[in-house]
Amino acid sequence: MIRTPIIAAATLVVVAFSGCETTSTSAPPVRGAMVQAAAREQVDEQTLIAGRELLLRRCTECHSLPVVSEHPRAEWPVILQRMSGRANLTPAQHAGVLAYILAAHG
Amino acid sequence: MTKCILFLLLLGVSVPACFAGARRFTYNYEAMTAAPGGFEFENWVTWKTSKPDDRSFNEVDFRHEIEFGLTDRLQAAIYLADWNYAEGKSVDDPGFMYTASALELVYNLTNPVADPLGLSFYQEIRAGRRVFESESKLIAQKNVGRFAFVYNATLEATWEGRGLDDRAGEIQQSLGASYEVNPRLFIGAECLHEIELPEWKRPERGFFFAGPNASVRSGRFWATATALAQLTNAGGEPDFQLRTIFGVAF
Repeated sequence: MIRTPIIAAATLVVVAFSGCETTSTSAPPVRGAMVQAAAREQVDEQTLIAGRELLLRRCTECHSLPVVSEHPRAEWPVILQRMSGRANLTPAQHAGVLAYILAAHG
Repeated sequence: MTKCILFLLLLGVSVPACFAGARRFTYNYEAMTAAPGGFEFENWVTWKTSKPDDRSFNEVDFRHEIEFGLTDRLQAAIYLADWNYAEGKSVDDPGFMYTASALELVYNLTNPVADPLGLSFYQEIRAGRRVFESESKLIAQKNVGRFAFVYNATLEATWEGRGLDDRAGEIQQSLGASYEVNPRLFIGAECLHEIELPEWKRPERGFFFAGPNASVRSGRFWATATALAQLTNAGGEPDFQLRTIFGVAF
């Protein structure tokens, strides 16, 4: 019976990965130190949270979630400039994502 | 000879847009929807060949789709025209034929990266030359690092014939896995399991297809291809099918 292996495979995939936390290292949640660092750049916590949300939802439509630390801090504005058109980000959304990435980068 | 001509036709249609990529799969839908305001043009080409009960069978299906994001969670698409070329002793109307046009909506519930499991609902209404179809799907997806896993459960209802008197149903489930080699290249596999329900009565024996896929993308362009072989021996189904989708985002 062909149906059984497919259902088994689908169940395995769902069970194996439904509880995984895949974002904590690539895009860490907004925390105290990050908020304090961003505040020095006149960026508030809500902007960081919205920026992270956009990073998780829009950027991953085309590629896997980038690890923030895999590029030097100075490269991110250039990378994001190239990508934000494809993700259809407004200037405010672009600024929010960049603020989050720079705050997460440290 | 005919197969060569069909293959060249397939290539000819594909070349103008085959520089690049956004869908990882061609037989599976993904849970994520287009960004609001996002707009994409996709061209589908599916070549099916050789059935167990008709080795002379060849069919090339074409689909032209405009897809756009309406909100953060809702995406719509219009299939401008589905048409095909078919030949073989089992084909009633050989040659080129327009089949249908369609409207599709996808509503995203949860995200496959940010949430434990990404889920979306899909509804398509398709109408055309002596055919009316409703296709509903539940799409589940999970992205883990560079991997994406997707599962689609589909229920399809079809009304066909001169007075749309011939009713049929189909249950379909499909599974896909894809790995991001780099942001421009994705490789993986897909499988497809279909069970037909003629007149919505006793289900016929199911058939099963599986095969590899690959997706490439560059700038605003992308292309994805999947080759599926039939692993069962259903007489009315093709032994081999190759689907390519070429897209450009605006």
